[in-house]
Parts: sequence; C-alpha cells; structure tokens
Amino acid sequence: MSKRKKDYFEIKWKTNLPYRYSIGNLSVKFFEELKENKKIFGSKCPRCGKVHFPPRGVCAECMVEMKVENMIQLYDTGTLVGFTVINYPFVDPQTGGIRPFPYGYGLFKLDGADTYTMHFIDETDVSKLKVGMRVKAVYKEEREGNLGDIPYFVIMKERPKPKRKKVEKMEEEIDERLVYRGRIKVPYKHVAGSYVEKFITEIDKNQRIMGTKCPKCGKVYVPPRMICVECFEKMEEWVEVDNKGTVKGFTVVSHSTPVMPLEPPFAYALITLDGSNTEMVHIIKETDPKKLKEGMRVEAVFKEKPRKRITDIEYFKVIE
Amino acid sequence: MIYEAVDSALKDAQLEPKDIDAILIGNMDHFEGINFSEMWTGVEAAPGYLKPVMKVATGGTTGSSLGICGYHYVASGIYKNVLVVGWEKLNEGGATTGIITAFDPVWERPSLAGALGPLALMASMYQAKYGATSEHAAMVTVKNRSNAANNPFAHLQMPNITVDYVLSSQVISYPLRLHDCCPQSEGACAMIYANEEEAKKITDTPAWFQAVETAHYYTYGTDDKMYDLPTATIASKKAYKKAGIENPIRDLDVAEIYEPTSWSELAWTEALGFAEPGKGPVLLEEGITQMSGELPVNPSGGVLSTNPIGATALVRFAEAAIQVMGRGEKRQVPDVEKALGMGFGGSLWTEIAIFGKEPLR
Repeated sequence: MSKRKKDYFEIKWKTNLPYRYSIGNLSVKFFEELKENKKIFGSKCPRCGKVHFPPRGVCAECMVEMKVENMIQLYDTGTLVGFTVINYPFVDPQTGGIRPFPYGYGLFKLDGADTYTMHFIDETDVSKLKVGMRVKAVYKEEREGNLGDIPYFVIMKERPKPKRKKVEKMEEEIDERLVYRGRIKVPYKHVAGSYVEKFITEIDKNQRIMGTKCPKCGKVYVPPRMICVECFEKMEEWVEVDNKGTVKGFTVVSHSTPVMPLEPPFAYALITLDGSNTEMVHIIKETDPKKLKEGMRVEAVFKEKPRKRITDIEYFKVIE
Repeated sequence: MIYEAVDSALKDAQLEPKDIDAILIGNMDHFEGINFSEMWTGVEAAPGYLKPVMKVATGGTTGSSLGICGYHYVASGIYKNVLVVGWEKLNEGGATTGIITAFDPVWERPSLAGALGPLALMASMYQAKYGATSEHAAMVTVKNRSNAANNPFAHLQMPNITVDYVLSSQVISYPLRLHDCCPQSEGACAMIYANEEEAKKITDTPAWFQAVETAHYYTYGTDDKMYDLPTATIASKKAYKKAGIENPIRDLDVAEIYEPTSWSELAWTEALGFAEPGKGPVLLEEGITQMSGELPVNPSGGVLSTNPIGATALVRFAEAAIQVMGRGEKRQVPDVEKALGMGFGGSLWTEIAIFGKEPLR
C-alpha cells in the first residue's frame, strides 16, 4: 500500500519460542473420543444447560465449572453461520512461514451446540458458499488425536434432519500426558532508528564506540539513547568512548534452554566503558567464575565480518 | 515517534516533565514481534524517570483502556496531571501474526487469519441477515478516507476516492476488499489529563469527561457473531444515561468510532444506537454521518484511514476531545457540545467515553 521512500536501518529477527499448553481434561477427553470413536463432544453447563463447543471448563454466564461428566455427544453436522475465503498473505506464527492461501473458513454451529466454532471449509469459491448452508465434518482415516483429525468441513448435498441420539455419559478417566506442544515463530524487523544506526555503523566501519551526551547533566550514554531519561532532554552531541572498560557485575550462565543465544557456559557482564557514564551488557570471553571479578578491566574485540548487530563487538576480553 | 507525540502534547499544554505526576503507556508488543515494549521505549520517550508508570495492553482497546485508566487516575484525586500515551509500529512485525498468537492454540490458531478473518465472517453474516451491499460498505470508506484528507495526522488521505475505486480493489477476504480494511500504521498519540484546578491553568476550553464505560464479553473469539456487537450496546447505553443522552443522533454532535473495516461501521453504528438493526446503511444514504450531517462519524478519517493499534482507540478519545475543544481545524465539526469516542478490540470489548464542553455536576 504505502511505498517506502528511504532505506531505514533495520535489524531483522525471528522469534522462535517453544511452549507447552495444558489443554485441560475436557479437551483430553474430546480428542480421545475423536481419535478412537470419531465422536464429537461438547460440554453442557449444569446450571443453564448451554452446550459449549469447543468444550470448555467454565460457563462464563453462570461462572460454573463444567467437568468431564458434563460432556455430551454432538452431531458432526451443523450450519454455516458466516464464511470467508482468506486471500491475503501473512506469516503463520505456527510455522514462521507464509500460510498457504486462498483457503475457506467459516463460523459453524454444530447440531446440538449453542456456541459457534471456526474451522476450515473445503471451498474457496465464495459463490458456492451461503450463510445457512448445512455442513458436515470430514474425518481423517488415520487419526492422531488433534484438531487435524477433522481437516475441514464440507457442504452437504441435502439437508438431512439430525436423528436424536441418546446422550452418552463420559467416564472420568483422564490421560494427563496429552499436552499440546506448539511453537510461536514470529519474524520481525526492528526499525532501530538513526542513533542505533550511527552506533553500529561506527563499530562496523571504524571500530569506534560512540555515545551520546546530555546537554544538561553531561552524562554520556553507551549504548546511545536519544533522550536523557533523567533530564528528558534530547541528546544530539556524539562522543567517542574508549574500547576499554570496567566490569561492574557479571554472571556465568551454565544451564541450557532452547532459547539461549549461545551454548552454555558463557559469561556476560555489565561494563562501563572509559568515558561513558552508563553500563552496557555484553559477553565476556572467560567462563570460569573464579577468574572473574568486579572492577576487572576488559577490552572490546570486534567481529571480522560485521552483521549489523551489537554482537559486531564480538566479545570483551580480560586485559588485566 | 513516541517522543514527538509526548513532546508536542507537553508543549501544547505548556507543561514540563516535572508537572506530570504519573504516566500511562500502552502498546501491543506482540504485534511488533517483541515483548515488554516498556523496556524498549516506555520510560525514555515519555518522561517516566522515577515517576509512577503503568502499562496497559488490551488489544484493539489498548488506547481506550489507557484513556479510561487516565480518567480514573485523575478523577480519583490521586494524581493532578497525568500523561497518557499509546503507540504502535506495525511495519516491524505483523498484526495478523501477532493476533493469531492471542488465540487458543488447539482450537483457533490453525484456521484463524488475524483480525480480518473474523471481521470478514462478521460482514458475511451481516450481509446475509440484512442485505447490505458492498456499495454500502464502500460508502463508509469513501466518507472516512476523504475525511482523512482534512486530518494532517491521518495515514491514508484520499480526497478524491470514489465508490467505484473501492469496489475495484481486490477481494482479500470475502466480502472484504482491500479498501474495506484499515491499513497497518505506525503512530503515537499522547493526551494530558488534568483535574479541574490544573485544567483551568492549561486551557480555557478543556474537554470534560462526562462518562466512561467498558463492557466485556466471553473469551473465545467465536462466542459472539460480532455484527450486533452487544458490548457496544451495553457500554453505550450506560454512558448515554450518565451523560444525559436520550437520543444519540440528536444529543451527540460528533462520534469517533472504532471501525477496523467499512462493514464494522455499518453494523456498529447500529449497536451504538445511531440506527435500528439493519439500518446502518441508511445513515450513509441519507448523509447523517457525513461531515455535513446531523451526527458526523469519524471526521478524522477513523481507523479505516489510520491504525497504529496501541494508539488507535486513544486517537478516538483524543479526536473527540479535540472536537469539543474546537481545535479540529479543517476537520472541525461546528458547535460541538458533546462527542463520543469508542474503542473496540480484545475479546469483543467495547469502551466508550463521552466528552462535553461542561463538566457534569
């Protein structure tokens, strides 16, 4: 829509966070029934009788808990309440890539349920879709116990009236191991601004570390900021600081998680460069905590092939 | 960007950072692909150093939640002058991607396509129920984007936009065309809230809060069909009662509503009581919500012209206040006594504020 007139200094990144989501007893039972018996269950509020699909733990209107024994079987047919065909590209945070499109999706009311649910519909021609159409869930032959077992709904040819089925009672037997494991993968670019641009460009081109100086209190900020947080003054004066500095505090990271930037053990420290009044956080190339101490002197080591990152100062080495 | 908004608000009010007692900030981090945005910008760009700072993040309503918190801060008597600032930089991440992560990973994420998908479902239901047409929706876009040409802060300013131009744009999520949808904008909005004594020092023409209301609904996105937006009906009815409004078309002079799509304005002006259910299109056909009409809706150009999410609903409040203060310049509606600002988002929340030339006693 809008054309970019200028190349902004951008830092590209990709968030990739694993998570475990506890789906709860009701969903555990739902997916078991779906996988083993091709049956769809919702939860019925013991107070108002409203049938929720997807099944959920609390009826929000009554503030009453719905338990596994409050689950009832629903039909796999329903009515199309609203629909659209997605025809635009966007990053799917489940994969980090563009989700394939076009695809149809709709809001459905399953027979036997009082709430709505959204899901895929196997139709991308909007002229063939109409609010009020009868739809039916399609099951996968090899089911795995997740929502993919119903890949989509299809439009039904006729309008068969659902036969009344006897409501089945659920047994209270829960497989606690069923946990949904997903990832959030979100690429983004940070328009870092002219201050970061100057700071990193000076490091990359001239191996110089620059800070900004407050015109009011004289404090020098490294990394540079635009505004002095204490005086709320805009800082426009740039000063070069030394590549050497003093460690104000440190730690050695020794445990590993999937989101660590480096393979442990690694050390990082708060460092005040000579000529600066602030601390910056950076990596120290010394992983023995016994050899690290506050007040020790360190010097920046620059990366041979800079990548427009703060890690273009690759690490600080101990010099005394 | 945030500093620019804050600095101009402070200069306009002739206040120094020292005069500000507390700061409220708002942003939807994950729409920018980050977390804890207050760590990035909050204290530095707004003068929050050693001051009470609170962050609010409630999706599309972030700005109006901020706006209502600001009211509570001052009306409670705890703070005299409060700075309220919301922002978003949507070019950096992707609102669609971020919004998907706000939904249930088991049931909703696989098929959900950000905000536009559900808003398209809403439009298809509204269309099926009342027979509104794409032309009606296009009239909303034409009104709002041409209004935006009078607003120097608007993102998409289209003084010569036509219904045909809107209808010729690509269908991106049936029945939504590209120009039925809001843009992804970058922007910040700052407002100064002051108690009666302080407000009189700042300006001779303050905008007074006469009512604020919030209404919530369920947590699942699919719980409501959205086109009849009950939270807007609940919140607006309560607010009208507080502010002494019996007939919103007659008693309000201008409204800044939250319309992420053109179809939303058709449907939600009904929810706000501006028209009977299904009669939203009549407001446009009869020119009632045009700049020259009885109740102009979105003189600023609205969300259809500018949508920096964390700022958007605060912009609705700010624009309503600007209209009451008579400072709207080219977008000013004459003789505004009462103005409505609306926020929408989260799980179908609606937030309403009514501003007036005089305080309610």
